Amino acid sequence: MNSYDSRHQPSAPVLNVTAASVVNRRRRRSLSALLDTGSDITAIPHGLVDSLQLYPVGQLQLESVEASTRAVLTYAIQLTIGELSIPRLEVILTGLDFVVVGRDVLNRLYLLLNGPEQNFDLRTTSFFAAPIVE
Amino acid sequence: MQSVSVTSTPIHYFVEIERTALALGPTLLEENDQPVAVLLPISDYQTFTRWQEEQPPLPSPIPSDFAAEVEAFEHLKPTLLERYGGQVVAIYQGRVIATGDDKMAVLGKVLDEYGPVHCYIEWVDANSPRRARITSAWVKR
Repeated sequence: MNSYDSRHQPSAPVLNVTAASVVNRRRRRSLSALLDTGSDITAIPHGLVDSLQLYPVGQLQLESVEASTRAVLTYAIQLTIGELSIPRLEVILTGLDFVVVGRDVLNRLYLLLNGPEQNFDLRTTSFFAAPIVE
Repeated sequence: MQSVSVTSTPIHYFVEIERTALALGPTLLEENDQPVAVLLPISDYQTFTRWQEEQPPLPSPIPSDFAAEVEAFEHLKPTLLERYGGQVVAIYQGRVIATGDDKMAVLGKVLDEYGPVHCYIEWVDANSPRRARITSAWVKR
């Protein structure tokens, strides 16, 4: 179980992830990451472009909560979150100082949010045991 | 905005301004009717610097070689739609060097075959680039 982070108000599910270059995996950074089911795509802080020596690989039209749209560049990283390692993940940049993990990653995981008790669980296998077939 | 004329030598500007003028807000300093600078009351300057600190960092500039590949993709798009419609292509030096049905898988092909070259990887679709939504809102505290 992981605890909610009260530095976000209201408190939020946050955990550490590792972002690495897809070219040289020794270039890596461990960062705090917000699990955000409202994001279609994962975003990483701008500063990682220099520290991981990333270069753009694509672009997309990003639509914000105000429904305004703008073109942004996309980058590729290797992302490790809990027991899951994604060798190549397309991400965008954020001016925030933490990673925003979107549904492009969350949909590969089992996530149990326990808001009243301020904790959450993130796994690569189901929380429910498979039925025993006799 | 009020304005005040300045005079100058090759090294110095000279400005004569009444003490009460700063209370009236920003003052435009002009030389020969051309704006030279703006003199701000300290409270306005502090507001400006606070605003400046709150601005998000500027995004990295688009590398020129990447921009050229994007331009090549757009130029080739009618032909690409006929030949690779519905697929992903990687464009490098103005030509298709890899194709597939997943952007990151195509990146893998490029890395394996060409190394970390600056290519543009995109879906060949009339509406590309695709749209992604960030519907979350963060409240600044």
